[in-house]
Amino acid sequence: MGIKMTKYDIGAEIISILTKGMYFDPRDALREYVQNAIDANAQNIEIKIRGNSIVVEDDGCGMDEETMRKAVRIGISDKNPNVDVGFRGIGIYSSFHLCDNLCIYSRPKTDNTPYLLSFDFKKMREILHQQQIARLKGDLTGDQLIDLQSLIEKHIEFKILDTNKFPKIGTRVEMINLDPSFFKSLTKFDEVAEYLRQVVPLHFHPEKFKWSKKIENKISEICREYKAEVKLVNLTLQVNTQIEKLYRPYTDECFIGEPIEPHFEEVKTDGYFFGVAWGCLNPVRKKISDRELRGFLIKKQGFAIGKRINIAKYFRRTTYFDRYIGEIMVVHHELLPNAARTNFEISSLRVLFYESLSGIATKYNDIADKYQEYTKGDEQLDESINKLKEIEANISFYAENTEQLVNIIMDVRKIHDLIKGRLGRKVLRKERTVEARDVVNSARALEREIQRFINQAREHGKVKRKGKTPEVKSIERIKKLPEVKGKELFENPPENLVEIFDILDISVSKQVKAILELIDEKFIQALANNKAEYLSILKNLKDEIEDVLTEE
Amino acid sequence: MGEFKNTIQKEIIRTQWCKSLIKFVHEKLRYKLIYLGLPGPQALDLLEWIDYIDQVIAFQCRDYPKPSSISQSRNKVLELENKLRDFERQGKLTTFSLYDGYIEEVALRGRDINGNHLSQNNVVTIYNLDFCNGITFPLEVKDDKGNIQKYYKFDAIRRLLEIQRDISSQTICKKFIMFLTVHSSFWEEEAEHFISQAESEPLKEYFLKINSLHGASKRIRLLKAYIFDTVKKYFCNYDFTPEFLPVINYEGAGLNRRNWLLLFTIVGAENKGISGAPCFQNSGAFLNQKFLTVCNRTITISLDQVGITEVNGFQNSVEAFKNSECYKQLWAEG
Repeated sequence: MGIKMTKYDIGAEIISILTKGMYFDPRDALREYVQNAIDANAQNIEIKIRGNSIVVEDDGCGMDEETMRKAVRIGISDKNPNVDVGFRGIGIYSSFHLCDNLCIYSRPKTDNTPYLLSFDFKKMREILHQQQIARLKGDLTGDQLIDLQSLIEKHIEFKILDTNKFPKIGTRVEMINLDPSFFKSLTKFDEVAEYLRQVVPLHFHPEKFKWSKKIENKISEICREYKAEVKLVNLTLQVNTQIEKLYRPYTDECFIGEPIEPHFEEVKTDGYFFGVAWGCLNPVRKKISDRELRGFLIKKQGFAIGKRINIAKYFRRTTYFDRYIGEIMVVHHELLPNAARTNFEISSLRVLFYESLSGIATKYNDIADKYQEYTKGDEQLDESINKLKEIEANISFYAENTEQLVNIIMDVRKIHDLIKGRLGRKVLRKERTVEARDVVNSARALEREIQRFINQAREHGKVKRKGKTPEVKSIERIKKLPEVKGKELFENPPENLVEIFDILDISVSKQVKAILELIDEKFIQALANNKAEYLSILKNLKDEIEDVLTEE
Repeated sequence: MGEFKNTIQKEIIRTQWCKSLIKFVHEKLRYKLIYLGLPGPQALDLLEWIDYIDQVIAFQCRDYPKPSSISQSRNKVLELENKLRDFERQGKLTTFSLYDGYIEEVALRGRDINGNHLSQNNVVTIYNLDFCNGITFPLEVKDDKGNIQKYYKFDAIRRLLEIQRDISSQTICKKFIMFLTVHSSFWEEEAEHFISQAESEPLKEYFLKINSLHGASKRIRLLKAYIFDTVKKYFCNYDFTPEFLPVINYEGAGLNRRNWLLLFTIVGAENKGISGAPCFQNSGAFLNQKFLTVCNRTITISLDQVGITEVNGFQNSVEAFKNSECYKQLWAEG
């Protein structure tokens, strides 16, 4: 037998508890009202933060009288989780602790009459506060507490307006008399913009990001195949006099060099289509410099779910994760975000989603791995060509120094083995294999020549070969090797041990930094005979550390 | 600043003198204007000119004439904000921004008492600077370190012109109107100083001419010369050619009762020269022009001042402007 309840069984305090618990950040209210605008099929949304108020205005379908009346309900929503982002029926109260009055003006396309819903949050909060004090004093019993329905009925007003009071079709939310303690966080344009860029389904910047159109089109195309849709909006943010149209935060400048063409993956498993992933890899073997943008971000209908770092574990090799900028655009209607939007609600579907995400992650890792090997191959090949050319140009200077010739022969052999190894393992771009073979052959020939030269020198028992310049037959072959950019590819070579960590973006404490400086001075610098050798040791060390990180 | 009562004189000036010029500039520029100023809590100026305005940057202090403090009531600021929000909601304004504090305080500090930073993205086309205390009377405000800083209204004007100059505008030529209302009290010491420092011949001649006058009639003429000389320099320094239209002299109300108020109308146009912008206006002609005043609900030329000879100017702001050399050279064609 069920329990019969009355309106007095749900206390008014619940509204304060819920909104405090769900909206930690005053900017969350902006997200909630933007979400409502998107659900109303708005194409253009404006957020205006000025003086003591915030306005969120959209050009959506507006609300008719019935919808306006229903909007005040708590925990009940007519929205369809299939297509709408909001569905919990609480978002309208997200500014409960933020402002004194909330006014919602709406004019629907259907009947052309503007309506106003006004919420006296200040009065509501005062009543709850007085009630709390009275309870602490023992002046009130539980049965005397005001119930939710009464609180709402007394402090929310509905009005029909003259057309000239709100002539536009759409909805306008006004948060009036903001609590001054929120001024600081809400009036910093950059901070609010950054938040909105992360959480709102914005378009990509059409001029600043090379792959904007491609990504938007491809995602729409894949989603259409599965009868799903990703809504994007134009959002303009105004903070006092600063007004800007916001886009997703990705630009070509986020990458070192031109971003590589995005790779798309459908996130799906047996019978379930969860969404689409896109990812652009940094064209160099380095992390994306902006920490906030590194890796992949899950978005449900364009709204961020959790943080990027949360899903790094599914990619296992975090080095690769950090070299990507990407998003997992989730559209499956049964995958619902939790209230705090830190994750999806616990469900067996969530497990399946993360399983398929792991699969996708492996593919992105493979791409990065392959790309990394190729770029490393390019770098090594270029470096080898340069080195061979350098040896060829300087060989005559070492003609009388067999010890130096032995060292050179070791370098040449190293080049030979390195490039031959790459050819054998097929970790070089196809279009560079001919070059690589030339390098191997040139190195081999050069080695033989130098060896012959050493042998001759030895036979003469350290006697000078007066008047004769050594002849190295491989010179012509080396000359034919292509010109390469060489050092330009290796930007910012480390100049000391600590810099290696900076370049690899490994943060070290002051103490560790001091220890590294000590190791550098006592051991690494001691290994080198001159600065060139020292820099070469550092570079090799950097590559080895990078390999370790990559294999982690 | 917001403390002026809405007198019949102000209403006449707003509707007959200012509005027609604003309408003219709006039609000339072919876009709605951007207003920066002190509309007061009831925003009466804006209400009158709203058809020609697109955006508003407003300043409102909390408790005139006391220095701004967060402990003061926000009521006046909120009243103005509500008004501006109403305009925006009704589609009369595209947007607005509102700074909580005195204009000189916000302009020179760079932010209002809530920490909102002053910035300007677009070229302002109407400045409405209604200073009800003396133009040379400083506002004393404690800075972040507790030191007293003096903020002068003239410095605010200079700063606003500097911001206007620094806005990068490829497409729009910077043209604007500045309405500047001041009153003639707080003016004794500065007047003496101004007279002793004046270097230009037209000024010296003008001082000699008005030397025989006494009291308010002398004071308002000295103030007119002072504002002309100083503001003209500011405009030119910041690459704007100014044109001063006839000055309106009328009686204040409330705190300013029995104090004569002067409304200066200056039309500015960007005109970069090697060392600032040139001024085409003849100083002597402007200084020797009769004041306008409000009489029988119309703007009229004031009566002859006994003891000196002054010439009649235009009674209509648009006509006054259209007959200027500045208009012919910088405005007529575009």
